[in-house]
Amino acid sequence: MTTASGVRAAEPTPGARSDVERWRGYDWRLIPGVPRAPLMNMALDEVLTLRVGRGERPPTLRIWGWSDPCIVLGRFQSVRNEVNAAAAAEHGVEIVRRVSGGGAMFIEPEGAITYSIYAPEAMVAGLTFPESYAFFDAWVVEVLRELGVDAWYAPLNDITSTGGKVGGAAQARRGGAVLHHTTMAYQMNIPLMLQVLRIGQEKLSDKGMSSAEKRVGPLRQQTDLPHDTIIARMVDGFRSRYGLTPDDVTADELAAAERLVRERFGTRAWIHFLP
Amino acid sequence: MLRPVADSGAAMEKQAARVGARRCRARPTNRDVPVARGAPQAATPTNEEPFATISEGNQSRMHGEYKTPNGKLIAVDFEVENDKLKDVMISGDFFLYPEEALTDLTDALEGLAVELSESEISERVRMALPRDAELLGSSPEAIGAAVRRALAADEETGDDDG
Repeated sequence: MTTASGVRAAEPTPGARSDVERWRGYDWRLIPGVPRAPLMNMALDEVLTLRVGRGERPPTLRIWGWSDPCIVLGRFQSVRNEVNAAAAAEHGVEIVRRVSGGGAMFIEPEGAITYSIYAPEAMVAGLTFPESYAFFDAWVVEVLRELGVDAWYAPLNDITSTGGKVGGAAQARRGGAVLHHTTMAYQMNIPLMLQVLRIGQEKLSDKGMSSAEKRVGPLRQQTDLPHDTIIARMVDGFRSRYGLTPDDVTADELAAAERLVRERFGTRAWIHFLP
Repeated sequence: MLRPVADSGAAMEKQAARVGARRCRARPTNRDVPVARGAPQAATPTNEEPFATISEGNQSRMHGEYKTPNGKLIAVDFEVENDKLKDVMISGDFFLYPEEALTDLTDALEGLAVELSESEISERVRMALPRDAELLGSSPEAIGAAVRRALAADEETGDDDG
């Protein structure tokens, strides 16, 4: 299959060509970042994934905005194993749980860059789960490299660089669609993170500096570009590769998300499902 | 024999789990305990994650963990009653498809006799995992190891030897 205009300079390998082609042929929509409550971000992921699966929404890239600091637990994490709840409450850090697996993230609104991709499962037909993780973030890695960050994808689900780990991805699948979302660190408040998250003892060195600190490579340390500029360049990079039409969350989707916050994501039964 | 896995990553992890050192990350379970620096842990060279086991029971709760090399952490918490596992909780930063399979994994451990070996536990877990389910970043072997660590730590007063 030949591409139309915008052919890349380098001839891709056959495997890469088929990966690129997987993205084509969809009317990709962009939901821009708007500050939202952490619980709404959780619920929107569920709503939008189901809508894409049902064919009610075209495949979509959603940039997240965060209104408040929070800890986002992975689907299967235990609250008490991961969080110092007293410290979190003391610092006004909300605890929420997402639908996808993976690890806990401490998020401050301007400290993170998060996005979700809602795609039909057919798009990754024939890929193993690990392959699909790398597949969905390949474009971001390329954009980071264009920005001068020496980044690459490390299995299972890490975006890393010579400066340290930049971000991580998680996935959930339901209703014929895939939710793939990724958070990258722009800047990290390590002292606060260490207070609210239980970092395993082995990550501390006896020199008093956390080796967790050494292992992460927030983007602010690797580029002079501001937070919003990085996001803009990411969006440009996605658009130039696969196309993007401006869009937004519909009123109906918003209402459905608000209902899910009440009935599920905001409930103790969900958040403390694994206490 | 191991059931076929779709990705070489998991196969490599299982290989490492069989052959290599089994490691367990220490995590305080009492949330009022601050993360201690300079805790008596063996220092290890840079590319290795230093590991030690701390299994603390809150009251009678036992806790064991296993981190798959280059993979994820899985933890099991449970009580023991009449020499059987009770009120089991499996948790961690792994991925699992479908999500509902967590119940299958937990049910496999519930009521398990504490005398079972690690491989017997792992086999029970593997049999309970639905045919089309996938556990990414961890494995039935990891769960077996975590259970045995929890039981072993409870039998000793000091650190488990990871």
